[in-house]
Amino acid sequence: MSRARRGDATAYAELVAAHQEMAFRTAFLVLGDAAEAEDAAQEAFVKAYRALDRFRDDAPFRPWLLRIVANQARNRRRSRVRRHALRLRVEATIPRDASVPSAEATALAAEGRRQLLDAVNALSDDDRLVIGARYFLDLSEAEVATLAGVARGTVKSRLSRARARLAQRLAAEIEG
Amino acid sequence: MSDRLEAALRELAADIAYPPTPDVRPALSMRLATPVRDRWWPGPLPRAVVLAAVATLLLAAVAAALVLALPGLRITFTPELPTPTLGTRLALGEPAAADTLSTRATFTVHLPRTLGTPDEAYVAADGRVVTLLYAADWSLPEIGGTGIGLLLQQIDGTLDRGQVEKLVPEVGATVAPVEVAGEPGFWIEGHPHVVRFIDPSGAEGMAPSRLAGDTLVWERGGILYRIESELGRAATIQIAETIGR
Repeated sequence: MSRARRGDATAYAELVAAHQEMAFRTAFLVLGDAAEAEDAAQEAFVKAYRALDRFRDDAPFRPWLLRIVANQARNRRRSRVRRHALRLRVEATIPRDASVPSAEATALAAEGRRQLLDAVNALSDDDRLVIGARYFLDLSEAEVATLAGVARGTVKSRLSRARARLAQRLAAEIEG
Repeated sequence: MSDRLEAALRELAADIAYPPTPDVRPALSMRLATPVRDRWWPGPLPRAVVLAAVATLLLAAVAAALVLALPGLRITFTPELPTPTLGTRLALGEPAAADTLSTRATFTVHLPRTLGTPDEAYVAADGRVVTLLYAADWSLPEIGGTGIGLLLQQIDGTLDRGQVEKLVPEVGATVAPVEVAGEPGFWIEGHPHVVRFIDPSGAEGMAPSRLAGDTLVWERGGILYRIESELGRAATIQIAETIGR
Protein backbone atom coordinates (compact mmCIF):
# COMPACT_ATOMS: atom_id res chain seq x y z
CA MET A 1 0.00 0.00 0.00
CA SER A 2 2.69 2.49 0.96
CA ARG A 3 4.71 1.46 -2.08
CA ALA A 4 1.66 2.01 -4.28
CA ARG A 5 1.20 5.46 -2.77
CA ARG A 6 4.73 6.35 -3.71
CA GLY A 7 3.80 5.66 -7.32
CA ASP A 8 5.12 2.12 -7.53
CA ALA A 9 3.04 0.74 -10.41
CA THR A 10 3.96 -2.86 -9.62
CA ALA A 11 2.75 -2.46 -6.05
CA TYR A 12 -0.51 -1.01 -7.29
CA ALA A 13 -0.84 -3.89 -9.74
CA GLU A 14 -0.61 -6.24 -6.76
CA LEU A 15 -3.37 -4.35 -4.99
CA VAL A 16 -5.48 -4.53 -8.14
CA ALA A 17 -4.87 -8.26 -8.46
CA ALA A 18 -5.91 -8.80 -4.85
CA HIS A 19 -9.10 -6.76 -5.09
CA GLN A 20 -10.31 -6.91 -8.66
CA GLU A 21 -12.65 -9.84 -8.19
CA MET A 22 -14.45 -8.11 -5.33
CA ALA A 23 -14.49 -4.85 -7.29
CA PHE A 24 -15.92 -6.53 -10.36
CA ARG A 25 -18.57 -8.38 -8.37
CA THR A 26 -19.58 -5.26 -6.50
CA ALA A 27 -20.08 -3.46 -9.79
CA PHE A 28 -21.89 -6.49 -11.14
CA LEU A 29 -24.34 -6.39 -8.21
CA VAL A 30 -25.34 -2.90 -9.28
CA LEU A 31 -25.24 -3.36 -13.04
CA GLY A 32 -25.80 -7.04 -13.74
CA ASP A 33 -23.79 -6.71 -16.95
CA ALA A 34 -20.26 -8.07 -17.33
CA ALA A 35 -18.91 -5.48 -19.77
CA GLU A 36 -20.38 -2.57 -17.84
CA ALA A 37 -19.13 -3.99 -14.56
CA GLU A 38 -15.65 -4.37 -16.01
CA ASP A 39 -15.65 -0.76 -17.19
CA ALA A 40 -16.90 0.45 -13.81
CA ALA A 41 -14.25 -1.55 -11.96
CA GLN A 42 -11.53 -0.29 -14.26
CA GLU A 43 -12.65 3.31 -13.87
CA ALA A 44 -12.74 2.86 -10.10
CA PHE A 45 -9.17 1.56 -10.02
CA VAL A 46 -8.04 4.57 -12.03
CA LYS A 47 -9.83 6.95 -9.67
CA ALA A 48 -8.54 5.10 -6.62
CA TYR A 49 -4.98 5.30 -7.93
CA ARG A 50 -5.25 9.02 -8.47
CA ALA A 51 -6.75 9.46 -5.01
CA LEU A 52 -4.20 7.30 -3.19
CA ASP A 53 -2.52 10.33 -1.66
CA ARG A 54 -5.80 11.21 0.02
CA PHE A 55 -6.19 7.72 1.39
CA ARG A 56 -5.40 7.32 5.07
CA ASP A 57 -2.84 4.62 5.74
CA ASP A 58 -4.68 3.34 8.81
CA ALA A 59 -7.96 2.93 6.94
CA PRO A 60 -8.81 -0.37 5.30
CA PHE A 61 -8.31 -0.22 1.53
CA ARG A 62 -11.04 -2.61 0.44
CA PRO A 63 -14.19 -0.76 1.56
CA TRP A 64 -12.72 2.54 0.41
CA LEU A 65 -12.11 1.03 -3.03
CA LEU A 66 -15.50 -0.65 -3.15
CA ARG A 67 -17.22 2.61 -2.38
CA ILE A 68 -15.56 4.12 -5.43
CA VAL A 69 -16.58 1.05 -7.43
CA ALA A 70 -20.18 1.32 -6.24
CA ASN A 71 -20.30 5.01 -7.13
CA GLN A 72 -18.89 4.32 -10.57
CA ALA A 73 -21.42 1.56 -11.10
CA ARG A 74 -24.28 3.79 -9.94
CA ASN A 75 -23.17 6.57 -12.26
CA ARG A 76 -23.06 4.26 -15.23
CA ARG A 77 -26.43 2.87 -14.39
CA ARG A 78 -27.95 6.33 -14.02
CA SER A 79 -26.48 7.58 -17.24
CA ARG A 80 -27.25 4.81 -19.60
CA VAL A 81 -27.55 1.30 -18.38
CA ARG A 82 -30.61 -0.74 -17.69
CA ARG A 83 -29.95 -2.88 -14.68
CA HIS A 84 -29.88 -6.55 -15.46
CA ALA A 85 -31.11 -9.23 -13.15
CA LEU A 86 -28.70 -11.36 -11.19
CA ARG A 87 -29.03 -14.99 -12.16
CA LEU A 88 -28.46 -18.31 -10.53
CA ARG A 89 -25.79 -20.62 -11.82
CA VAL A 90 -27.40 -23.26 -14.02
CA GLU A 91 -26.55 -26.14 -11.72
CA ALA A 92 -28.15 -24.32 -8.81
CA THR A 93 -31.56 -24.35 -10.45
CA ILE A 94 -31.84 -28.10 -10.83
CA PRO A 95 -31.81 -30.78 -8.18
CA ARG A 96 -28.22 -31.67 -7.43
CA ASP A 97 -28.84 -35.40 -7.12
CA ALA A 98 -32.07 -36.75 -8.50
CA SER A 99 -31.50 -40.26 -7.17
CA VAL A 100 -31.87 -39.46 -3.51
CA PRO A 101 -35.34 -39.56 -1.96
CA SER A 102 -35.21 -35.86 -1.20
CA ALA A 103 -34.95 -34.89 -4.86
CA GLU A 104 -38.30 -33.22 -4.63
CA ALA A 105 -37.25 -31.29 -1.60
CA THR A 106 -34.09 -30.25 -3.40
CA ALA A 107 -36.14 -29.05 -6.32
CA LEU A 108 -38.32 -27.08 -3.95
CA ALA A 109 -35.25 -25.59 -2.34
CA ALA A 110 -33.98 -24.63 -5.78
CA GLU A 111 -37.29 -22.95 -6.49
CA GLY A 112 -36.97 -21.12 -3.20
CA ARG A 113 -33.55 -19.83 -4.16
CA ARG A 114 -34.88 -18.62 -7.48
CA GLN A 115 -37.73 -16.80 -5.76
CA LEU A 116 -35.39 -15.24 -3.27
CA LEU A 117 -33.09 -14.01 -6.01
CA ASP A 118 -36.05 -12.68 -7.98
CA ALA A 119 -37.04 -10.71 -4.90
CA VAL A 120 -33.48 -9.36 -4.57
CA ASN A 121 -33.59 -8.36 -8.23
CA ALA A 122 -36.79 -6.45 -7.62
CA LEU A 123 -35.20 -4.31 -4.89
CA SER A 124 -34.07 -0.75 -5.47
CA ASP A 125 -30.44 -0.23 -6.55
CA ASP A 126 -29.35 0.81 -3.08
CA ASP A 127 -31.09 -2.06 -1.33
CA ARG A 128 -29.72 -4.60 -3.77
CA LEU A 129 -26.24 -3.20 -3.26
CA VAL A 130 -26.27 -3.39 0.55
CA ILE A 131 -27.95 -6.78 0.63
CA GLY A 132 -25.59 -8.10 -2.01
CA ALA A 133 -22.50 -6.65 -0.37
CA ARG A 134 -23.40 -7.98 3.07
CA TYR A 135 -24.67 -11.45 2.21
CA PHE A 136 -23.41 -12.32 -1.26
CA LEU A 137 -19.97 -10.75 -1.00
CA ASP A 138 -19.77 -11.37 2.75
CA LEU A 139 -18.52 -7.89 3.62
CA SER A 140 -18.60 -6.88 7.27
CA GLU A 141 -21.16 -4.37 8.49
CA ALA A 142 -18.39 -1.79 8.82
CA GLU A 143 -17.38 -2.40 5.21
CA VAL A 144 -20.99 -2.15 4.04
CA ALA A 145 -21.25 1.16 5.91
CA THR A 146 -18.26 2.59 4.04
CA LEU A 147 -19.42 1.12 0.75
CA ALA A 148 -22.91 2.55 1.07
CA GLY A 149 -21.72 5.84 2.52
CA VAL A 150 -23.67 5.56 5.76
CA ALA A 151 -22.51 5.96 9.35
CA ARG A 152 -21.42 2.80 11.12
CA GLY A 153 -24.11 3.29 13.72
CA THR A 154 -26.84 3.24 11.13
CA VAL A 155 -25.69 0.39 8.92
CA LYS A 156 -27.56 -2.19 11.01
CA SER A 157 -30.85 -0.38 10.58
CA ARG A 158 -30.08 0.27 6.93
CA LEU A 159 -29.62 -3.46 6.38
CA SER A 160 -32.61 -4.29 8.48
CA ARG A 161 -34.88 -2.03 6.42
CA ALA A 162 -33.52 -3.54 3.22
CA ARG A 163 -34.26 -7.03 4.56
CA ALA A 164 -37.76 -5.98 5.50
CA ARG A 165 -38.41 -4.74 1.99
CA LEU A 166 -36.91 -7.94 0.65
CA ALA A 167 -39.22 -10.01 2.85
CA GLN A 168 -42.18 -8.04 1.51
CA ARG A 169 -41.12 -8.66 -2.06
CA LEU A 170 -40.61 -12.32 -1.32
CA ALA A 171 -44.02 -12.67 0.25
CA ALA A 172 -45.59 -10.88 -2.72
CA GLU A 173 -43.77 -13.16 -5.09
CA ILE A 174 -44.71 -16.37 -3.35
CA GLU A 175 -48.33 -15.28 -3.21
CA GLY A 176 -48.33 -13.89 -6.72
CA MET B 1 -37.84 -14.42 9.85
CA SER B 2 -34.86 -12.15 9.84
CA ASP B 3 -32.42 -14.87 10.88
CA ARG B 4 -33.85 -17.32 8.38
CA LEU B 5 -33.77 -14.71 5.66
CA GLU B 6 -30.16 -13.86 6.46
CA ALA B 7 -29.22 -17.54 6.40
CA ALA B 8 -31.04 -18.04 3.10
CA LEU B 9 -29.26 -15.04 1.60
CA ARG B 10 -25.87 -16.32 2.72
CA GLU B 11 -26.66 -19.69 1.22
CA LEU B 12 -27.74 -18.06 -2.00
CA ALA B 13 -24.35 -16.41 -2.36
CA ALA B 14 -22.72 -19.56 -3.73
CA ASP B 15 -25.40 -19.98 -6.36
CA ILE B 16 -25.16 -16.59 -8.00
CA ALA B 17 -23.84 -16.72 -11.52
CA TYR B 18 -21.06 -14.16 -11.64
CA PRO B 19 -19.30 -13.83 -14.96
CA PRO B 20 -15.58 -14.67 -14.80
CA THR B 21 -13.69 -11.75 -13.31
CA PRO B 22 -11.82 -9.96 -16.11
CA ASP B 23 -8.24 -8.92 -15.46
CA VAL B 24 -8.31 -5.13 -15.65
CA ARG B 25 -4.58 -4.71 -15.13
CA PRO B 26 -3.51 -4.49 -18.79
CA ALA B 27 -6.04 -1.76 -19.53
CA LEU B 28 -5.31 -0.02 -16.23
CA SER B 29 -1.61 0.05 -16.78
CA MET B 30 -2.07 1.97 -19.96
CA ARG B 31 -4.41 4.46 -18.40
CA LEU B 32 -2.19 5.02 -15.40
CA ALA B 33 1.05 5.38 -17.30
CA THR B 34 2.46 8.85 -17.34
CA PRO B 35 2.26 10.52 -20.72
CA VAL B 36 5.04 9.59 -23.08
CA ARG B 37 7.60 12.36 -23.38
CA ASP B 38 9.11 13.38 -26.65
CA ARG B 39 11.87 10.87 -26.65
CA TRP B 40 12.35 10.37 -30.28
CA TRP B 41 9.84 12.35 -32.22
CA PRO B 42 9.92 16.09 -32.40
CA GLY B 43 6.34 17.00 -31.65
CA PRO B 44 4.69 19.41 -34.04
CA LEU B 45 6.24 19.35 -37.46
CA PRO B 46 5.46 21.21 -40.66
CA ARG B 47 2.81 19.21 -42.38
CA ALA B 48 4.96 18.97 -45.49
CA VAL B 49 7.53 16.93 -43.64
CA VAL B 50 5.23 14.03 -43.25
CA LEU B 51 2.06 13.01 -44.73
CA ALA B 52 0.84 9.57 -44.30
CA ALA B 53 1.53 6.24 -42.84
CA VAL B 54 1.36 2.71 -44.02
CA ALA B 55 -0.08 2.17 -47.36
CA THR B 56 2.57 -0.13 -48.67
CA LEU B 57 4.74 -2.62 -46.94
CA LEU B 58 7.83 -3.74 -48.68
CA LEU B 59 9.38 -6.85 -47.34
CA ALA B 60 12.81 -7.98 -48.22
CA ALA B 61 12.85 -11.39 -49.79
CA VAL B 62 14.56 -13.47 -52.32
CA ALA B 63 12.74 -11.82 -55.16
CA ALA B 64 10.82 -8.61 -55.48
CA ALA B 65 8.05 -10.35 -57.30
CA LEU B 66 5.89 -11.71 -54.52
CA VAL B 67 3.02 -9.39 -53.73
CA LEU B 68 0.32 -9.80 -51.10
CA ALA B 69 -2.53 -7.38 -51.42
CA LEU B 70 -5.14 -5.81 -49.17
CA PRO B 71 -7.25 -2.79 -50.07
CA GLY B 72 -5.06 0.21 -49.39
CA LEU B 73 -2.08 -1.92 -48.59
CA ARG B 74 0.60 -3.63 -50.55
CA ILE B 75 3.26 -5.92 -49.20
CA THR B 76 6.10 -6.71 -51.53
CA PHE B 77 9.54 -8.09 -50.98
CA THR B 78 12.71 -6.17 -51.59
CA PRO B 79 16.26 -7.38 -51.40
CA GLU B 80 17.78 -4.82 -49.10
CA LEU B 81 17.05 -2.63 -46.12
CA PRO B 82 17.76 1.03 -46.79
CA THR B 83 19.53 3.03 -44.13
CA PRO B 84 17.08 5.24 -42.23
CA THR B 85 17.64 8.89 -43.06
CA LEU B 86 15.49 10.65 -40.47
CA GLY B 87 17.90 9.68 -37.74
CA THR B 88 16.15 9.43 -34.44
CA ARG B 89 12.90 10.99 -35.51
CA LEU B 90 9.54 9.63 -36.42
CA ALA B 91 7.08 12.18 -37.64
CA LEU B 92 3.52 11.45 -36.77
CA GLY B 93 1.82 14.74 -37.55
CA GLU B 94 0.28 17.31 -35.28
CA PRO B 95 -0.45 16.39 -31.68
CA ALA B 96 -4.16 16.28 -30.99
CA ALA B 97 -6.33 15.79 -27.93
CA ALA B 98 -7.89 12.33 -27.97
CA ASP B 99 -11.42 13.68 -27.72
CA THR B 100 -10.98 15.89 -30.79
CA LEU B 101 -9.75 13.16 -33.10
CA SER B 102 -13.00 12.39 -34.82
CA THR B 103 -13.55 16.05 -35.67
CA ARG B 104 -10.03 16.50 -36.95
CA ALA B 105 -9.86 13.27 -38.89
CA THR B 106 -11.66 12.62 -42.16
CA PHE B 107 -13.25 9.56 -40.59
CA THR B 108 -14.57 8.39 -37.24
CA VAL B 109 -11.68 7.34 -35.05
CA HIS B 110 -12.40 4.36 -32.84
CA LEU B 111 -10.45 3.51 -29.71
CA PRO B 112 -9.63 -0.03 -28.61
CA ARG B 113 -11.94 -0.67 -25.69
CA THR B 114 -9.33 -2.53 -23.68
CA LEU B 115 -6.79 0.29 -23.91
CA GLY B 116 -9.07 3.30 -23.69
CA THR B 117 -7.77 6.81 -24.22
CA PRO B 118 -4.26 7.00 -25.70
CA ASP B 119 -1.42 8.82 -23.98
CA GLU B 120 -0.76 10.81 -27.11
CA ALA B 121 -2.49 11.22 -30.43
CA TYR B 122 -1.41 12.72 -33.71
CA VAL B 123 -3.23 13.72 -36.85
CA ALA B 124 -1.50 13.93 -40.21
CA ALA B 125 -2.21 14.09 -43.90
CA ASP B 126 -5.10 16.54 -43.59
CA GLY B 127 -6.85 14.24 -41.21
CA ARG B 128 -6.40 11.09 -43.22
CA VAL B 129 -3.88 9.53 -40.83
CA VAL B 130 -4.37 9.29 -37.09
CA THR B 131 -1.77 7.81 -34.76
CA LEU B 132 -2.49 6.80 -31.19
CA LEU B 133 0.34 6.09 -28.78
CA TYR B 134 0.09 4.14 -25.58
CA ALA B 135 3.01 4.39 -23.17
CA ALA B 136 4.96 1.30 -22.26
CA ASP B 137 4.64 -0.13 -18.79
CA TRP B 138 4.53 -3.38 -16.93
CA SER B 139 1.81 -4.88 -19.07
CA LEU B 140 2.73 -3.29 -22.37
CA PRO B 141 6.36 -3.99 -23.17
CA GLU B 142 8.36 -1.13 -24.54
CA ILE B 143 9.07 -1.16 -28.26
CA GLY B 144 12.81 -0.85 -28.71
CA GLY B 145 13.68 1.86 -26.20
CA THR B 146 11.06 4.29 -27.45
CA GLY B 147 8.96 4.58 -24.32
CA ILE B 148 6.02 3.39 -26.37
CA GLY B 149 4.14 0.22 -25.63
CA LEU B 150 1.70 0.27 -28.49
CA LEU B 151 1.18 2.34 -31.59
CA LEU B 152 -2.16 2.27 -33.35
CA GLN B 153 -2.53 3.95 -36.68
CA GLN B 154 -5.82 4.49 -38.48
CA ILE B 155 -5.66 5.55 -42.07
CA ASP B 156 -8.44 6.73 -44.30
CA GLY B 157 -8.76 4.08 -46.99
CA THR B 158 -8.89 6.71 -49.73
CA LEU B 159 -5.25 7.43 -49.12
CA ASP B 160 -3.22 6.98 -52.29
CA ARG B 161 -1.52 3.66 -52.27
CA GLY B 162 2.21 3.79 -52.20
CA GLN B 163 2.44 7.01 -50.24
CA VAL B 164 4.05 5.21 -47.41
CA GLU B 165 6.33 2.29 -47.54
CA LYS B 166 7.47 -0.02 -44.90
CA LEU B 167 10.54 -2.07 -45.53
CA VAL B 168 11.49 -5.23 -43.85
CA PRO B 169 14.76 -6.95 -44.39
CA GLU B 170 14.60 -10.50 -45.54
CA VAL B 171 16.35 -12.02 -42.56
CA GLY B 172 13.86 -13.55 -40.20
CA ALA B 173 10.86 -11.49 -41.20
CA THR B 174 7.63 -13.37 -41.61
CA VAL B 175 4.27 -12.34 -42.95
CA ALA B 176 1.21 -14.36 -42.10
CA PRO B 177 -2.36 -13.77 -43.20
CA VAL B 178 -4.67 -13.35 -40.21
CA GLU B 179 -8.24 -12.42 -39.47
CA VAL B 180 -9.27 -9.57 -37.21
CA ALA B 181 -12.92 -9.90 -36.28
CA GLY B 182 -13.52 -11.58 -39.61
CA GLU B 183 -11.61 -9.01 -41.66
CA PRO B 184 -8.46 -10.03 -43.54
CA GLY B 185 -5.11 -8.73 -42.38
CA PHE B 186 -1.44 -9.54 -42.02
CA TRP B 187 0.80 -10.24 -39.08
CA ILE B 188 4.42 -9.25 -39.65
CA GLU B 189 7.15 -10.21 -37.23
CA GLY B 190 10.63 -11.45 -36.81
CA HIS B 191 12.70 -8.43 -37.61
CA PRO B 192 12.69 -4.71 -37.03
CA HIS B 193 11.05 -2.78 -39.82
CA VAL B 194 11.78 0.56 -41.32
CA VAL B 195 8.91 2.94 -41.85
CA ARG B 196 9.28 5.14 -44.88
CA PHE B 197 7.11 8.19 -45.30
CA ILE B 198 6.56 10.01 -48.54
CA ASP B 199 5.25 13.57 -48.42
CA PRO B 200 3.01 15.12 -51.10
CA SER B 201 5.98 16.53 -52.97
CA GLY B 202 7.31 13.01 -53.29
CA ALA B 203 10.21 13.44 -50.87
CA GLU B 204 10.95 10.49 -48.65
CA GLY B 205 11.42 10.37 -44.92
CA MET B 206 12.45 7.34 -42.92
CA ALA B 207 11.87 6.28 -39.37
CA PRO B 208 14.54 4.28 -37.59
CA SER B 209 13.99 0.57 -37.70
CA ARG B 210 13.83 0.22 -33.93
CA LEU B 211 10.54 2.07 -33.89
CA ALA B 212 8.61 -0.81 -35.33
CA GLY B 213 7.68 -3.79 -33.23
CA ASP B 214 5.73 -6.69 -34.61
CA THR B 215 2.97 -5.34 -36.76
CA LEU B 216 -0.65 -6.17 -37.40
CA VAL B 217 -2.35 -4.58 -40.39
CA TRP B 218 -5.94 -4.99 -41.50
CA GLU B 219 -8.78 -3.11 -43.04
CA ARG B 220 -12.32 -2.57 -41.87
CA GLY B 221 -15.02 -0.33 -43.21
CA GLY B 222 -12.72 1.52 -45.57
CA ILE B 223 -10.16 2.27 -42.87
CA LEU B 224 -6.71 0.74 -42.78
CA TYR B 225 -5.52 -0.10 -39.29
CA ARG B 226 -2.00 -0.84 -38.12
CA ILE B 227 -0.82 -1.83 -34.66
CA GLU B 228 2.79 -2.06 -33.60
CA SER B 229 3.54 -3.71 -30.30
CA GLU B 230 5.64 -6.30 -28.56
CA LEU B 231 2.62 -8.17 -27.25
CA GLY B 232 2.69 -11.03 -29.71
CA ARG B 233 0.16 -12.02 -32.30
CA ALA B 234 -2.74 -13.31 -30.20
CA ALA B 235 -2.76 -10.42 -27.72
CA THR B 236 -2.40 -7.85 -30.48
CA ILE B 237 -5.31 -9.31 -32.43
CA GLN B 238 -7.33 -9.38 -29.22
CA ILE B 239 -6.77 -5.65 -28.73
CA ALA B 240 -7.49 -5.01 -32.41
CA GLU B 241 -10.84 -6.72 -32.11
CA THR B 242 -11.94 -4.33 -29.36
CA ILE B 243 -11.54 -1.26 -31.59
CA GLY B 244 -14.86 0.49 -31.75
CA ARG B 245 -16.56 -2.37 -29.93
